[in-house]
Amino acid sequence: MPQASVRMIPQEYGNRGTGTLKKQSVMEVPNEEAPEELADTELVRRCQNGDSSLFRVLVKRYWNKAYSIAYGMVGNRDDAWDIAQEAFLRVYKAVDSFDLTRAFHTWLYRIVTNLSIDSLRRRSLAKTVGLDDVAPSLPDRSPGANSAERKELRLRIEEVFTAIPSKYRAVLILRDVHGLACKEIARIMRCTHSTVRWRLHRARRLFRELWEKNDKRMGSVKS
Amino acid sequence: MSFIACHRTKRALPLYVGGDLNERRATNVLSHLEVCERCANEASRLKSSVDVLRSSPPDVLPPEDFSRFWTELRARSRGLAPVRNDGATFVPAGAPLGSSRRLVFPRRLAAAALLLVTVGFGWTLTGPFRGETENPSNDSVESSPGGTSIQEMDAPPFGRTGVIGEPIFVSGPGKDESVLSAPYRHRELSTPPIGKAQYAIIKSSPISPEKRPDGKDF
Repeated sequence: MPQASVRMIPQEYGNRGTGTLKKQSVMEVPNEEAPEELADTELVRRCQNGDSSLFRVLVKRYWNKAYSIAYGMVGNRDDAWDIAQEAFLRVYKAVDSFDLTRAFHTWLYRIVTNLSIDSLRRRSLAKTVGLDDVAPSLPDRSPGANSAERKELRLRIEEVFTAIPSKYRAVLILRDVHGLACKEIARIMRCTHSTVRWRLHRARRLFRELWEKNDKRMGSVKS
Repeated sequence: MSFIACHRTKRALPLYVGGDLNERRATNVLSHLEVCERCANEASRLKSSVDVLRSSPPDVLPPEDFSRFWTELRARSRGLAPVRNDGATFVPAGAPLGSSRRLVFPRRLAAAALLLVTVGFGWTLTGPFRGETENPSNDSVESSPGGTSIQEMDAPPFGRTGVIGEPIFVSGPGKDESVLSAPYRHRELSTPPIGKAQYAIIKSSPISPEKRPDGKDF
């Protein structure tokens, strides 16, 4: 609960010029809350009112999540980094048109998901000329990345994900990796709740099939 | 166990193992799994694959990378192309790669040119200049002493001032007083426009443009 303070303002009328101050009892100004504690909507509202310095707080709050979703979708750290940045650029450009009754993170994740799908599409076109091999990928610097088991598990998951169509992959990542609710995913992907549930159903079945195939292959390789 | 019960349960399993079913349906599925070994086996396989996904933490970056992320983001917002730590320059994620990028401008240009040509063509067909070229003798009406001629009355006086979709009443020699409704509105648009002088003469004629031939207002 923000504490109210009483501000002293110069009296403009009445005893003008005497320099006396009167208590502003009607208009009580709340103490400034730390920007990190403000809700997303409040931060966006202030950005819309011209305080663009608060945009940094929004970026700091969501940059890793945006990167993580993008990485889950595209499976490449460079692309995920670029997608996360591009998403924030688009948010920054269109922040004035943001509807404050909606959730900010839903908007951001939608942009990230769409950019990821675009990137996958472009990559499938670019594969013919081998653009993926031009630059080495960023190293995995995530905490605990050095664990060999974890590394292997992640590689296997990425391998399976590449065989899943992007619309199913997006639902799977948002629901099972990032734990978002189906209704939230429906808002992000701009489809109905039933469509999300249907895609989730298909995606889990697909993942199961591919995972088991991968398991068998790994087993045969080890033996 | 009935085939239908198994079929229904199998359909619900992917959502059941992820906890995405409502309580009533989840109870139904659970009660079936307790008695059907085949479905229970299927459920456990699905559950293990979902657990793999849920147990693998998402790939995140260390917090100290934020300053680099922010710096690059600011540079990009100013239209600069910063250099990555691996030496490669940024390609905006939304931009197409390779040769397709070079094609964006000509494609847009071609689309704009096509649009301009279409609008121009439409303008020459229906625009105000068409009347001037087809009926250049508008001014001569002003000097004709006999008032409204048959030729002038041939064209509906309110031809271009009528509202599209509204019924249009046409009177003149060789034409009954008839109503041209919406399907015939192209006729209205194709009639040449009338000049001010012509309109003034017609207005003073017995059939006023604001009045229908039967005396009612439009």
